[in-house]
Amino acid sequence: MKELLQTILDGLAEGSLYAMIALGYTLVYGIVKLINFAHGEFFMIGAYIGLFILATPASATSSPWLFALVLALAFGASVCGASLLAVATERIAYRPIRGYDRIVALLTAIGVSFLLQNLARLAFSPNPRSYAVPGNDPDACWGAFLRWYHAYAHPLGFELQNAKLLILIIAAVTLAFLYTLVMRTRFGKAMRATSQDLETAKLMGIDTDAVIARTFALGGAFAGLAGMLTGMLRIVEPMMGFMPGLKAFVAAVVGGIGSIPGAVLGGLVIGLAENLAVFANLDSAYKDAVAFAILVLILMFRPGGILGVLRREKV
Amino acid sequence: MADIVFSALLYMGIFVILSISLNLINGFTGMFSLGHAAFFGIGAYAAALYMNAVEPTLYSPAYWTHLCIGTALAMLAAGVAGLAVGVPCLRLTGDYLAIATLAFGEIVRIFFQSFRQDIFGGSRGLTLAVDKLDSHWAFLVVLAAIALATIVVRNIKSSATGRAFLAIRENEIAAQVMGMNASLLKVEAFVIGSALAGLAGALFAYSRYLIAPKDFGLMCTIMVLLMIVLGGLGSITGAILGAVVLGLIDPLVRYLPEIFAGITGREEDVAVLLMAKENPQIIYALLLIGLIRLRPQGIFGTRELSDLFRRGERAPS
Repeated sequence: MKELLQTILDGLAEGSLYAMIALGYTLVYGIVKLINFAHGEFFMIGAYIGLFILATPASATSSPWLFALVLALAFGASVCGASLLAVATERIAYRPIRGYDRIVALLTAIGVSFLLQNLARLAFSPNPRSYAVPGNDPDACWGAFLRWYHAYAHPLGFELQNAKLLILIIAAVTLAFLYTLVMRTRFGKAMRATSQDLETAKLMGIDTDAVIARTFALGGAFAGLAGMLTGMLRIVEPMMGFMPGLKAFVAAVVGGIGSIPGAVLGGLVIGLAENLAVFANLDSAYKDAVAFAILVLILMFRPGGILGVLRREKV
Repeated sequence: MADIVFSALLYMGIFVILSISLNLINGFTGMFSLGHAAFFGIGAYAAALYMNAVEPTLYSPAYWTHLCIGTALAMLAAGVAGLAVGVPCLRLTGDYLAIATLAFGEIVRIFFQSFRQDIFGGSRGLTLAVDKLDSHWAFLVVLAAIALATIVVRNIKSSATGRAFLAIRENEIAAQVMGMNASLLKVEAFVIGSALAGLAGALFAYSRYLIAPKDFGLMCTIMVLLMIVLGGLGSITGAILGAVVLGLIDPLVRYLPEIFAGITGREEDVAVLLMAKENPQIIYALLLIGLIRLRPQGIFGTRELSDLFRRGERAPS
């Protein structure tokens, strides 16, 4: 029973990571009807920025406050960095082809994804790296954080057993932030308007270029955050964005692409399904295939996604 | 030396067949399939397993018979896989289809990597029990296969079915209004395209000692995609040309540092080119992006070389 609960927690945590990345996909798709294949690479960059800040001797400090500072800096930098990359990609690669054929957009996105992966391989070596500083134990980063937490934040009330719970908390906070942004602010209204009808939004005086750029920034920020969190748990390497990116897209489709709650739901479903499948004695080599199997099922029986609306194509 | 040349040519030839097959699905019918390498892989494994089971002696008369049977099996296996992919994907368009086929490609790769490692060889790959064909024989076989594939696809293109494919690419709903069974046609395109990819896979297996899952991943599909985009989606000549051009670029990128060093002797230039040599994919990625933006129709567009010689009424394309 305890293992089952742990599995569910793992599933929810992994699922929220997928959900965060899926949010980026769904936001961008909703607004420009483009599947940004390069989204996984924003995730990867977030992890690498976190790496460069955390895998320094500063993170092995015994002072919890200095560590908290470094950690906060790492989070901030990875979110901002991924966000910047997203905006730059939109400006350089996607804006010039806006309005072109679907095939042009698709191939450009694939090309950009490929390019970013290989540029990363070139710039950072292809070797996998981890946040731990050589000479410290692998849990140095997480261990230091837990020490800080137990010393200073524990009195806040809840017990923090492992990284997974932290991920869930961060994901929940992020979602609350996004919901407020989309539903209660003017910018959110502009986003919804642009995604419904670009031309009319322009006529209404909305600067659609800016809205699109900021949407990319937002999506990239979430991906970077997810990347940083993943980097804390797992190794970092240039191709790390490929599989999570793909699965997150599957999650977005499963939940209903273009729908924000859908992306979250899809992410959680995929995360839970993967972990439950392994718990039910599926060989872990096939773990990746679970997400794709779910995709096939959804596309066959409910192509709009769980929460999606299937638009009737008019001629 | 001749061996190297024939080797290079025969791989180019295999990619020509792959390009023609992918062109049928992407270019003619407008269905965006990103999992094509999976059919290539299925064909390769099928042929390899058959040859391993039969173990004929190289170049005996029985060998050639088994070669043909193995190829037929490979095409059958790949065609069935195409059916399995095509049917669920009937309702999908554009982006969704791309992702679904991409996912399928990944599933197949994971399958070959993990399932029954005693049969399929796992991530290290499957060793062939029969010696591989000598390069010049393999090249002749590949040439024959190219001729076959080209004739088949060209006949399809100028037949009613081919026109139906093109109609679906242009506007699926209008095609249905005109009475075409779009679902059946799309599945047909998938099956034929994947069977031809299986053909390429079988030839690939015959010309190597070892086939491994990593040969059949997304990278392979992207290369083939680049070839048909370069040549022109919807043109058979374009697919062939694209494969040839990219087949030439690949060794060029790899030997360019040496060539440059020989000419200029400057260290910095060589350093940059050495980086490119490590990562030729960057060049391909840039090429894909640049090409699709500046000349999305590729070199040939939808025209064929034979259009130049056609007098009178032009075939609609």
